Amino acid sequence: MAMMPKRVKFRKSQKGRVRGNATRGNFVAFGDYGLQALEPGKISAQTIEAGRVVGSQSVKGGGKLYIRIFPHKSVTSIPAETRMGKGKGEVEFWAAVVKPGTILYELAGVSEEAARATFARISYKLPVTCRFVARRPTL
Amino acid sequence: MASAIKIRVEARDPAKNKGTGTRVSRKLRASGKIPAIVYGHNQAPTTISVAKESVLEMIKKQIHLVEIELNGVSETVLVRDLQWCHLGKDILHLDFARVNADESIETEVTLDIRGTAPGVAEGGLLAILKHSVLVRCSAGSIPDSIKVDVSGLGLGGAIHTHELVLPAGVTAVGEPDQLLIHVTVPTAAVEPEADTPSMPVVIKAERKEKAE
Repeated sequence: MAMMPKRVKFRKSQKGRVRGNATRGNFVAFGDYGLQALEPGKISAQTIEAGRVVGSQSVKGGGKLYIRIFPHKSVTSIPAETRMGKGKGEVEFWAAVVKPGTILYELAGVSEEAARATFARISYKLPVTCRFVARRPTL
Repeated sequence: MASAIKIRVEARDPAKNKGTGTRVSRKLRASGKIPAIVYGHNQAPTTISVAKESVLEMIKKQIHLVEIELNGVSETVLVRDLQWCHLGKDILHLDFARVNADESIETEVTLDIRGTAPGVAEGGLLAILKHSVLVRCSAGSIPDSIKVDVSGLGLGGAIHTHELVLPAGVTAVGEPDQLLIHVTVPTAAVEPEADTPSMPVVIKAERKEKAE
């Protein structure tokens, strides 16, 4: 089942533009390795779920997969062959706004090779270019 | 514990916008230097630049304490903050705090996990909830890392902050019952309920209904 908010203040939102870089959620916080977006975009709840399914199958219970993004934004569309006007269309799907640097998924409890293989499989499902990142060193 | 290493720093040119600002910082980064600031001990903050190689060496060796020579005066400083770019590739800025070697300070020290938990062989998953802990110690005796032996962790076993074996003179700051590492029992993925609503509840509508 695709993710979506439980409660919202407004059902429909304006489209907006994805500008700037990620200033939050841009480092591996929970796991050991992460998948980082390198370009801006919107990732639908179905795509996030597809990535989760592929990731879970790949780690086979040997590690923990964290999803770091959530689809907060509703995307509407009007049906085909409909005349213009008559208000905004109905909500089609929910999407997560992703900026360059955002960590999309994280993995814990697996080796680096296994994590690389898993993230390679997940990245096939995603509409943005990604890269493999490890935990940032701290001082 | 790693002893303080000596690194070369340069004071920024005060003629160019007091040596601060976006343009100056960008030029410094382009020339292989990292802008930094030194503050503390009731002295005026000083803007400096550090060679990138020195900073990378500090990170590699996990060195918190550094000796710098500025305007002919040698100072011991502690790395207080490290600012990364949005992709986590480059270091943008460093904060150094002036300290004395015998001064009590608080800093984050990474946990060095050793051994293999028997619980993992039984089908469990070693979950590391905290990769570093906040400790209080003298500036001259900051440990490189805190070794944590997980070879005694069975299924459901856990290590809390108060169970850490800390070097002499080092105390953990914060909740003593903070869970750091545990071996979780794997559970089957929870399937979402069939009657999950297809649309979220609109808060406004909820309020209207209540008012009526």
